[in-house]
Amino acid sequence: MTYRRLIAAAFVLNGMLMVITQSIGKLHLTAYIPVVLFCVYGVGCVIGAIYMRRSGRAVQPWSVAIGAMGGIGTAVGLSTHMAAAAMLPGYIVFPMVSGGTLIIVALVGRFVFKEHIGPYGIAGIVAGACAIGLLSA
Amino acid sequence: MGYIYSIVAMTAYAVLGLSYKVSDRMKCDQSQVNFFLFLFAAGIVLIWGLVRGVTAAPGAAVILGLVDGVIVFASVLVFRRAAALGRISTSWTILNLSLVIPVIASVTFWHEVPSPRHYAGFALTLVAVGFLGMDAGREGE
Repeated sequence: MTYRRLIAAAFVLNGMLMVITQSIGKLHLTAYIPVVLFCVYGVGCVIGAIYMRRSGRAVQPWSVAIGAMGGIGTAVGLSTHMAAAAMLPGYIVFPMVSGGTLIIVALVGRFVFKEHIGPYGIAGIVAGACAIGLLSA
Repeated sequence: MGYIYSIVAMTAYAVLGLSYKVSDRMKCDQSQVNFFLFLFAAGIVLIWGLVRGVTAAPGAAVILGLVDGVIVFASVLVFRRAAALGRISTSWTILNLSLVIPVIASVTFWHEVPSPRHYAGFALTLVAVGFLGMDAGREGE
């Protein structure tokens, strides 16, 4: 599969995910978010275990460490994001978190992973950060 | 305190985004990385639920969680492969622009009226996707 197809699929799947997450609030189920998230990650865990077993490889310490890095990132990010949203107005929290994350990832990609970002890429990242700020406010 | 939480959230999400690139650079077994990602996340939300005393939920919440889980897994799998082929900086931007989909859904399904900021956000999303597409094409991705 080409990069464009993969990133388009990731875009649609992530959008669908946000629609379902949004419906939690619409259905007045916000109080049960920890249970919903446990189901979300639990399903991922079960499917992930099946995939891992099928690959049949010995567990690599680096894979555990990087998996933990991503798992802590998503769970801590989500819980502190929700806590921040309960304390500050949405027009501050959402643009700050979304835009800030984009900028950190872009800077680390550029300076740590030495990714070459052309002028169109920089313009796209800046326009994207502004768009996310406007859409989430 | 709200600002501190926002900074922690921003950093944690960035750690998640960068974990995709790091796992590719370290040539990790993707099935193992995915499994441990979900395992650690499930452990953290379990502790969070226990601390808040939320241990049960209506069937609708459980069903939404299970459906969401399948989509999250597919999304992680696909994005991990995309991040391995392209740049994390631009891929992460494109992924986050999918925020436009729930905004469209709230207009279509819940008949919410978009504000002028939302319209500006839509327009900028198109501009951003156009620029990122040109950048990807220029690099031959």
